[in-house]
Amino acid sequence: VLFNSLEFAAFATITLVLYWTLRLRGQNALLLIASYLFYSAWDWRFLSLLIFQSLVDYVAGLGIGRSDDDRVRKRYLIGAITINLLVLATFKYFGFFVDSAIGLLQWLGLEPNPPLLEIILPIGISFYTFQSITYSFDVYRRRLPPTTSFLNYAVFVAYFPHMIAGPIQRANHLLPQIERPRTRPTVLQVRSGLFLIVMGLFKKVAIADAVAGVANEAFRMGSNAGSATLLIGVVAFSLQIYGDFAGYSDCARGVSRLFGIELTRNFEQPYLSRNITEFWRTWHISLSSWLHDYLYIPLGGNQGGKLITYRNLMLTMLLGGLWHGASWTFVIWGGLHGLLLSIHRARGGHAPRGRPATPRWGDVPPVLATFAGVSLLWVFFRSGTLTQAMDYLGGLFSFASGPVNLDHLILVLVSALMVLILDLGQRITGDHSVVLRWSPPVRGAAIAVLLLSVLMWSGGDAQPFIYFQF
Amino acid sequence: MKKGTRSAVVTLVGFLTVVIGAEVAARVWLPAIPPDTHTWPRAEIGQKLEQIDDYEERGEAIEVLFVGSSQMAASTNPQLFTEQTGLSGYNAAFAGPSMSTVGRWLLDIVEPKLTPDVVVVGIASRDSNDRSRKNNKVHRAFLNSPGYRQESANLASQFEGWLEDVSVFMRYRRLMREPATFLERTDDELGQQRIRKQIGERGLRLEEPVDYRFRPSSQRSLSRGTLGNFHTGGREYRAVVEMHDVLEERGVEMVLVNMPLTADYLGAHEDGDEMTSYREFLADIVAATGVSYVDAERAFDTSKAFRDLLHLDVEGRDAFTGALADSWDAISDGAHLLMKCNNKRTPECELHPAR
Repeated sequence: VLFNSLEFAAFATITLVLYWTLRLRGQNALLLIASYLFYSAWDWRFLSLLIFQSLVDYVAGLGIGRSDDDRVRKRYLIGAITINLLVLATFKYFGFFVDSAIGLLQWLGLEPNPPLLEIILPIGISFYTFQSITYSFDVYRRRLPPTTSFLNYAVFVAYFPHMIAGPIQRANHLLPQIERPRTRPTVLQVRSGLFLIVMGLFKKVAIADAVAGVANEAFRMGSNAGSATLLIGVVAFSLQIYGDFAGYSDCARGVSRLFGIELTRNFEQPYLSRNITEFWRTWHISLSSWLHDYLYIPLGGNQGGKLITYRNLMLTMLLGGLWHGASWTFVIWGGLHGLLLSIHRARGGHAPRGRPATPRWGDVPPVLATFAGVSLLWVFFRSGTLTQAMDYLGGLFSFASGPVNLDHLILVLVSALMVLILDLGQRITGDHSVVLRWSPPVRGAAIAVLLLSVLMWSGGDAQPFIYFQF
Repeated sequence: MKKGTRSAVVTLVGFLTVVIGAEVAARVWLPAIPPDTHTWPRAEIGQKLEQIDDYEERGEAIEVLFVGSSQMAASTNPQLFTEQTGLSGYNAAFAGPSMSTVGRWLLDIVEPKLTPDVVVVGIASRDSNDRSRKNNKVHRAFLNSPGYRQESANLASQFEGWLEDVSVFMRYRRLMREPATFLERTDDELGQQRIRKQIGERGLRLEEPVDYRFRPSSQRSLSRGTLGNFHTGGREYRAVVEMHDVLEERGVEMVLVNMPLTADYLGAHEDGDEMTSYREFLADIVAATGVSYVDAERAFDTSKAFRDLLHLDVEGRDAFTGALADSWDAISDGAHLLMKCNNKRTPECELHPAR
C-alpha cells in the first residue's frame, strides 16, 4: 500500500472517518489496528517481530522508570538497545557481514564454504528500531516518564503514516501526543494537511517519478554513455531522491495532521545549502539529528579536541551510511560525507542551528558547489556496487562526447526549476504550506498546476518509495 | 457573501481557470495524433481489439484463436484456416510481446471476449528469454498502457478511461512526458506506437509477397536485444504454464506451436547452448502440462519462404496454415507433431507424428 495509490487513499479515509467518531482509547486502538493492517499488507510475517521489539522496549522503559539504582537502569537500557541492534544486525546486516568475511578469506587465499542463508529485510525496520531506541534513551535520561500503557507505546512504534520510512520521531515528541486527548483539527489544519499531501504527491509523482527513468537509464549505461548523459543522470538522481523522500515525508506529515498528530519536519530545502554542514542540518533531519544526539554526542562530540571531533564525525557518518543499507557503497558514501564535514570544520566552517538563512545572489557559487559535491556522492548511494560507482564516475570525468537525449535534458531542467521555485518559496517564508498564504485566485491556480502535474505523470504502476528499502 | 465563502469561490475560480486553460491548450496543440497511439504500446493491438469488440458485440463465435508475437501475426492466415477447417479462426497476435505479455493479453482481454474452444500459442526462443531487456520493456509498456488498464477494468482504471475519453489533456499526457519528441511530432519519433498495420478480416495481416532479405543489422539487434542475457525457465516458463492452467479451468484447449525459423535467426543466438536450453524449456512445458504440441522450428530447409529472419512470407504463411488446418483433428486430439515443408517455389507443408 503506497501513499501514491488509491488503495491508500481509501484506507486512510475509512480510518480517519472512524477515528474521529471515537474517544482517545478507541482512537489509539484503531490506530494500532490500522497500523498493523498497514504493515501486514507489506508482509504479515514480520508483524510478530514488530510486536516483540515493542514489548522489549516497553518493558525496558518500565524497568528503567521504576528503579532509582543507576546500575539497574543502565542494565535495562543496555539490554533494550542490545536486543534492538541484534534484531537489526540479524535481519539487515547478516548477509553483508558474511559476504564481507567470505571476501576477506578469499583474499587471504582460503576457500570458505558457509551455509547459504537468505534473510528477508523487514520493511521499516531501520526506522522503527531507531525510534524505539530514542524511547529507552529518553526514559533513561529522565527526559520522559515511561508510559504505562502498552497500547500507547505500540502506537508510538507502529503509527502507520510514518513507520515505513520516517520521519523518525523522538519519543518525547510523539508519545505525549498519543497519550493526550486530541481535538478535532481546525479547517486551517485540515487545509494545510491536505495541501501537504498534494505537495508530497507532486514531489513524488511529478518530480521523482518523472526523472527516475533518466537516472535509471544513465546508471544502466554507465561509462558506455557520454559524459553529458552521465551528468544529466546524476542530477536526475539528486532530484529523484529528494522528490521521493521529501514527498513521502510531506505525505506522512499531511496524513498525520488529519489525525491531529504533528510529525516533525524532515527536510528544510537541502539543495539550497551553502556548505556540507548546512546540508546535513536540512537533509533527512530526523536521522541526522538522531545520529547527532544518540551517537555523535555520546562519542564525545566536539569536546575532546580537533582529532577526536573528526574521528567522531567520521564514525557517525560511516554508521549513518551503513544505516541506509548493508553495502560498501553506503559505507563509502557515509565516509565521504564524514570526510567533507571534517574538512569543512577544519577550515573553520560552521552552520548555525535553527532556520537556515535565505540565500542571496552571492550564495549562488557555494550553493552550486555544495549541490555538485552532494550529487557526486549520490553516485555511490545509487550504484549497486563499488565497481559500478567507479565506472560511472570514470565515465563522467572522461569528458567523452556522446548523444544527449533531449527529452531527458528538458525533464531534468524542468524538474530542477520546480524544486528551486518550491524550495525558495519555502525558505523565504519559512512556511512549507506557503501556497496557502497566497491570494485566493493564485492559490487556486497553483493547486491546479500541482494536481495537473500529478495527473500528467500518473497512470501505470505506482513506483515504490526509495527509502522503503532501508 | 461571507469572507470565507468568497475566498473559497475565488480559489475555485483560479483552480478551474488553470484546469480549463490546460484542456483548451491541449485541444489546440494536439489535434493530429490518432487516438490509439497512446492507448496501446502498438497500434496493431488497438486495431485488433476493435475487431474483437465487434465480434463480441455481434455475438459471433470464434472457435480457434491464434496468439503470439509478430511471428504468429505474420505466419498464420485465419481466413484460410477457417475456409479449410470450417472452424471460425481469429489471429490476435501482435508485434513485440514475449510469453508474459501474450499471457496477459490472452487471459485478461481476448479470451474472455471471444471465448474460443481452442487457443493456438505460437512461440520461439525470443519469447522464452526471462532476462531480455527488450521483452521486459514491452511487458511493462503493455501493463502500464491505458488500454490494458481500462480493459483489465478495476474501478480506478475505468475512471481513468473515462477521464481520457472526456479530456484531451488526460488522453495525451503521456506524450507530453517526452517533450522534445512530442514537439517534433514526426512519425519516426513517435516510433512503433504509430505503425499501423493493414489488418483484414479475422485479424489477418495484409502483406505483399517479398523475397527474403538478410540484414546483418537485424540479426545483431535480435542478438543484443531480445535474445541478450538468454535465460529460460523463469517468468516466461511460468507464463506459458499459467496460460495452460487458466485456459483448462475455463474449458479451453491449448495448442503450443514452436514457430518456424531461419538459419540466420539461429545465428543470432550467441551459442548453441541457448537453443538447447530453449528446447528443454519447451519439453518441460509439454511434460508439465500435457499440452498439444507442434514443432515447426525446422519446417523449412531454406529461407525462401520467409520475408526476414523470423517472419514467414505470404506463401510460407499459407503453407504453414494449410498444414495446421489439414491436421487439425490430430492436433486437437493432443498429438505431438512435427512439421516438414518442401522447397518448392510455392511450398507445401505436412505434419507427422513426432518421434
